[in-house]
Amino acid sequence: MKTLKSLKRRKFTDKTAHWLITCSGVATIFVILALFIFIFLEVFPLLKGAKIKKNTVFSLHQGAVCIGADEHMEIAYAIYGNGSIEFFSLIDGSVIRKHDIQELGNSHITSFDKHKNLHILGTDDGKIATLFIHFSEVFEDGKRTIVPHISLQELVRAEGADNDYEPFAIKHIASKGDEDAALTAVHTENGRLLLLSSEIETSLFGEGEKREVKKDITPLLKKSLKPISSTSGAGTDHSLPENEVVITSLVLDHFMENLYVGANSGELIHINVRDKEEPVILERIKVSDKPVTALGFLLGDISLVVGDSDGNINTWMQVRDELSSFGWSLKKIHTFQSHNGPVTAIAPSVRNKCFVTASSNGSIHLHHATSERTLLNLNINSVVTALAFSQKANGILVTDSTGKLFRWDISNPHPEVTMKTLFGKVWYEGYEKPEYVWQSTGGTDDFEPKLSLVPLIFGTIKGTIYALLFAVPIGIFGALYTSQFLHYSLKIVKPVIELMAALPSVILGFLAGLWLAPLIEKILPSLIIMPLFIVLSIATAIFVWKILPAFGKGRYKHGMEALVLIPFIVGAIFGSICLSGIFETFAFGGDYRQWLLNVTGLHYDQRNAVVVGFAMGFAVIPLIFTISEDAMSNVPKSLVSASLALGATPWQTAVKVVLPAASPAVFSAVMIGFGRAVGETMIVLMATGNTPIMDWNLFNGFRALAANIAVEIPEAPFGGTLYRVLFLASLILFVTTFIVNTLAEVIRQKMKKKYSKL
Amino acid sequence: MKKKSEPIVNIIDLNFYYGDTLALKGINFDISEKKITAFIGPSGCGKSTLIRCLNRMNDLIENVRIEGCIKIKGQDIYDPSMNITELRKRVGMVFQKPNPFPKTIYENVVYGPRVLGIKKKSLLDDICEKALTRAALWTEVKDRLHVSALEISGGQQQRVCIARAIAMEPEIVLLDEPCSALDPIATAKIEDMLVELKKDYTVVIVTHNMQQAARVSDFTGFFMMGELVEYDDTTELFTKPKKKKTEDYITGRFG
Repeated sequence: MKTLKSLKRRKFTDKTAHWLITCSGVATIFVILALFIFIFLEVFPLLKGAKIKKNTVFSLHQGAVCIGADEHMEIAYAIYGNGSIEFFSLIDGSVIRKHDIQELGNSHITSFDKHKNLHILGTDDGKIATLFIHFSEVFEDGKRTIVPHISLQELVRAEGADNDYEPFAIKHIASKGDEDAALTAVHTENGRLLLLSSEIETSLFGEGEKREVKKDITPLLKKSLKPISSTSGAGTDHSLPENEVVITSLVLDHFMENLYVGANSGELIHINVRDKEEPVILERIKVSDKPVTALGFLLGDISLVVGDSDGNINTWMQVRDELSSFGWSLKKIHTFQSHNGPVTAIAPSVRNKCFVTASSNGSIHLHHATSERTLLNLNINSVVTALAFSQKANGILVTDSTGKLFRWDISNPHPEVTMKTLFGKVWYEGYEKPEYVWQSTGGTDDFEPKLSLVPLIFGTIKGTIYALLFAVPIGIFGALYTSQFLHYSLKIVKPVIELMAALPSVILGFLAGLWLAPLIEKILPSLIIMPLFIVLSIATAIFVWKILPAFGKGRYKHGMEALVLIPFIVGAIFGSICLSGIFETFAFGGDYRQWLLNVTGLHYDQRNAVVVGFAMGFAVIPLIFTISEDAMSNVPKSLVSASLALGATPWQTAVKVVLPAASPAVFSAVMIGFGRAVGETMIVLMATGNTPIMDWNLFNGFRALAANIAVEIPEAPFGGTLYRVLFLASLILFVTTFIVNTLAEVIRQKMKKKYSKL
Repeated sequence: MKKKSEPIVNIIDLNFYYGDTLALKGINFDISEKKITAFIGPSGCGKSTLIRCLNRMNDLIENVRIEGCIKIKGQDIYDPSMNITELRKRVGMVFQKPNPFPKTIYENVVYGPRVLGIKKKSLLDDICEKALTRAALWTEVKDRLHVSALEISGGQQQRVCIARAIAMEPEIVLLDEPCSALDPIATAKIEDMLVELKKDYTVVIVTHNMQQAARVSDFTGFFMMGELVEYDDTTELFTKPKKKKTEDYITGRFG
């Protein structure tokens, strides 16, 4: 009876243990899988392209010249050719308010430019009207109402107040400015290019005086300029035609410095208008074989979008060029999917480097400049008259000649992220060539986040390699010595080193950044002579030992040599530090940093890869040491005896028998050390300076993936691009560690099989 | 009665301590050249300790002490000027359990010569063949020289270990219970081989198996409680033991 009971009990315990262990195992796998899925879900939206959420069509009275909408895409306005303006709801299409610019009389609007809230309209009788349109929000009973405001700020004549001659229509207009200064470039029907500037000069007494300059710069265009071959046709020396320039488009940057003129000949003319009295033509370059039909700046007014009559779209940018007379020249940066017809309108986003282009045949494309992608292709099958890109970059408005207004609501949260921008070289604004750049945040609104992960991956690899270069030899040879040679009374070394692993990495990082980095900077020359000194001192120790009379060695036992060597090594370290100054004077002319810069062109950063190598090495050594030491101690004594009995020296035995037999564990120790170094955060965070540069130089800092996540987290708004890219960084770390560990385990198992029959 | 040849090893007043425990007490005897000398006795009698003294393998154990002296060809092997690795090259050893390295058969056999610095492939090949032939293994493994030594049978492994020891051309071969882990057929093969080996080497064997001692050895020493009870010609010792303890042991009254 009793046996039966105990049998039942045993069965119960067995079953419970079985299920408990199974559940724990499955739970572990599940947690890792869940973690992976969670991270992946956070990253996934980065991979999705732009999407149309909604497409609505409204009817207007006629085709508008210019359209726009408020920030929330609730109220839109349309400016018609006859000078009337309509505000209407973008929800139901009802007209909210109508406004006529009385001052324009019978003039017809022929051209316009938009700068912030200002709409500069050019008319068929040479007038320039500046309209101010903005929206305010009123909250009533918790409900938001958008109220539109409109006012005419200025109305001037392009060609003087006196009616000396027939007024000519303004075909193209480009204008920038604010309350203090404004600059307008105008192309009139009779082929003249005029520059109008007004500036309020405040005198010492606080009196503002308005100063206006009007300059006809048409002659500039006729001036022959040394022909510059375009980048597209590099090498072919085609001289430019000297005939009249037929202007097809104008664009002016908000610095009021650079005026670009697009011509029928496919040329782009760059005029510097900083000096309003004496504008100079800087460059004349062929940008297309077909006439240029549309020009537009991207956010920040650095990149210029050029559309031609064939529908080709390219971006151009000023790039440093030593061959150019003024140091810069226009370079083609990106090419986008072309339209089937001539490009007629370009609308940039005010949020990012996206822009919308429209062609006269009704095709509308959404592009992202930096990633060189065309995100959306839309088509309305009628002639586009006006195009607008919503302020939040989430909607596109288009009117056609039949008076229809198309509204697309788009979802395009992460246009700047592609495989190419994350892992490839990207030509950013202000750079001389495509490069790998990580710079997630900047000081200005028009700053573009540069999210290349390559410098970070490079930094991780650099830090890991330097740490392992330091830790692997010390860890493995330390373990070999401790397990094979060290006298058993000194075996306390092992628990002490294991204690080192318990040291929080933040303390190591703190010490490395605040104590070790300045120290190394001070004594770097002595670090160079230190290995030599240590070797010499050990040689001296051996020599002294040999000539020492036998009685002095009485208490010596094999494996105690470490104790004997310690004073010699400490002496060597001390000696090399003392001689640091002399060595520096002798070898580096007194200042090694200056020498480094002069001879190798390297800058010395205080927080550099050497410091990280030491500090992270200290974090990794205990891991490699402990696992290796265990394995080496567990190599069967019979093998060691066999080797020794064959007349092998202990050293030969260690290298030829112990090391190979322990190699599976040593290998996995190194892999675990690698994993630790890759994922290490605090040490690299505190001791590297976190500069995302790509340079193998020992004396430069770097930025590692893990540290980058820690650094950038406060800068990353929830759900934003940076937030997701940081998750991608963690996914890369996760997958790397996973692959390395799996690989290590597979190789270890294979190697273990070889030695399993011992 | 066999004729005693010149002694190669002289053991004089040997005391051996593990810590404070006396393991060998006043051992005195000689080992003859090119003969097989067997040590027999119950477990813990010190016979293994003694054989390990002959190539100073006991040095590996912490906290041991030795008194008296052992001379090999007149040279005291416990003299401080003695080079231990040199000694071990002259006195080869085979252990109780086969302990081949996790390498190929070939690499196992040429391990010693390689350690000595011999690199020439043809020379190593010769050494390997000669050693394996002497260990009576050549015909069995000559086509499998590059197979891991861990993949052959226990008896073969032990003969690889013997070949490994004799590849060094030692003067003396020590065998510490070489057949205790083997079956009778493998044992018989090794015994045959030992008799062959005697032509060129001095062989010292520790064994539990009295029949084995009787079969292969020329001289036998009987140990008990760390003392050499009787040492004589093998036939003499087994047929007409002079001491009562020896008689009791060999007739199976104890042990």
